[in-house]
Amino acid sequence: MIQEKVRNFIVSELNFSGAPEELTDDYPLLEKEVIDSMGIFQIVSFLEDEVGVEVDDEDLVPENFASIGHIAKLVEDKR
Amino acid sequence: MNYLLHHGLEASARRSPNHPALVVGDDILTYAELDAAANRLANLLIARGMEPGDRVGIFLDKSLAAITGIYAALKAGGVYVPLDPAAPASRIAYIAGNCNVKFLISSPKEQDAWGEIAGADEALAAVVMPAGEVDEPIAGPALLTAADIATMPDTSPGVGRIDQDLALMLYTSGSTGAPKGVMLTHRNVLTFTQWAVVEYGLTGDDRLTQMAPLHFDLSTFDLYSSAEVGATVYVVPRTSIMFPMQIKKLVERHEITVMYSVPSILTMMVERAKLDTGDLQSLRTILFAGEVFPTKYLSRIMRLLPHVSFANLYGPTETNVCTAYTVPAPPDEDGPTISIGSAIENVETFVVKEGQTIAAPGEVGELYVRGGSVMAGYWGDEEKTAASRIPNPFGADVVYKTGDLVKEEPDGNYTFLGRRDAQIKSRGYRIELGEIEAALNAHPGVVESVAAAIPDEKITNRLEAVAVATDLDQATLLKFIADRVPKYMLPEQIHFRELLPKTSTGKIDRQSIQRELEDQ
Repeated sequence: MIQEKVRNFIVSELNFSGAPEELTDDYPLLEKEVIDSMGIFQIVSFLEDEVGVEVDDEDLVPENFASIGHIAKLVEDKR
Repeated sequence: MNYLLHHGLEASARRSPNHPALVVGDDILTYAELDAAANRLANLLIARGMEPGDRVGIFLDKSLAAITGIYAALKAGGVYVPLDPAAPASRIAYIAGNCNVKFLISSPKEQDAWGEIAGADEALAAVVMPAGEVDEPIAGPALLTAADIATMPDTSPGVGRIDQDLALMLYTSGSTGAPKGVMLTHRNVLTFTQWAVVEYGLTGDDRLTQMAPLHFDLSTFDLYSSAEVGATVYVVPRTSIMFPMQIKKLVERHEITVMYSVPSILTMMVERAKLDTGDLQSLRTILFAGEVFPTKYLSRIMRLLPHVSFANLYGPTETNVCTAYTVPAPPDEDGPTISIGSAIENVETFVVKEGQTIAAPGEVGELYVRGGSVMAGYWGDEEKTAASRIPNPFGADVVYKTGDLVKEEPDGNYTFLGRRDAQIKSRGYRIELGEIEAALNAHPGVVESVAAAIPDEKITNRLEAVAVATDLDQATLLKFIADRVPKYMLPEQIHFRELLPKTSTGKIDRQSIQRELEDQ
């Protein structure tokens, strides 16, 4: 499931500092700076290389990265 | 005469009361509204016991309320201390306790940290929430809300201060593990902001972005240079700053004329904001500071925006901006690092060799700075202050030793060559590797550790660490230090070793570790 993939990526690569179970689908990733200015490009590379969707520059908006749920929706829309 | 930081606001409120001062999303405050709101809050602080010189923590996201809080602190004769809402609560509590913050301007979103702050800071008299409500009162300090502010008069409290009094404190990474408070006076900030108004020709018709966090000295230009002339400031929210297209859209939509940013954000815009399309004709000046702009990306952005003038501003927090360089033409992509220019007005700079002698042009030396922008010192740390803010070896007054190595080029401009010590930059953030190591070493399972900066084309440096530890994995250790240092200080990787290489004198061999990490 895409949510799980993204969650695992955030825990292992973006140095999520809380307990993994805290990282629910609606956890505010931008508000809590889980995704910061570096993380955004790491996650875009992950979505393009590992999930296989093309993320356009126009897709880089807060609404698409606000939570794991939002990222999953972006992936669905791009497929 | 504007000799205090809030005088620009007050003068603009008299001159152009109905001109927009601040825009955050759909919310706008005119100069008259911002001045009146700040007066009310200042009067409330004074009514609640604020004395000149008291510290006021600004603990909320960039917003109308945050900037109103800053002006209120200044008008009440106080010293504002921006506290990063994204930093760990323990770090915020340390800072509040270190400088005895008396009032905290905050929002309901930060309430989880209030208890820890109150526990560390006995001087805390009240938490003030200009907007929002909380369900439960806090133990200890009073809780003041918009209703309390609304009862106060909107006239200036008229607290007498002079330009050598402290206006703000910015906490920067400290090499021994605790952040240190850089004490800045009204004069320190105005030396730069008033110069910048003239140098970059700001007027009341300008529209500026406010990009940097308030705990970065870049924010002083956005706030005070603009207020000096009555320009309009568009605050870029914290959660939008990493989206290059959002920034571009804001520039287009509001016909922004002047931007001041760290280079890493401009680099992202080159890569991801489609700068070759759209309408950015309103932009006339982009100022950058905080780290070295990779020449390749500077060249590209200058070619993409040929109508925009670019300037490199240089200076540690301790001197704000002290040298500047207007880039004459796009450099070659593989050209040398862009110059940091020469001293701004009312500032004198020296390049100093070992033995306190002046370096000849072309010779490498440490940059010393004298003048109105040099900080008053580090809060509560006379030893550190005396080590870097020293009697001027070449005449009257004091100088600040920047720790930065430079050389003077034949055209009289300086080239930045690096640091004398273990302080590094990553994405514009200033980081002491020692602070990361102190956080790692605080874990009972860690025997010793080294933090290293790996040069990176886009963000200056990436962070990695090597640790000798028992029964620890990377995730556990990262989680541990994430409670102690901000996210931008977290290593991307922690490598575990049986032992660390040592030099012949028994010190950790940093160079060998550095080479090993760079080769990976």
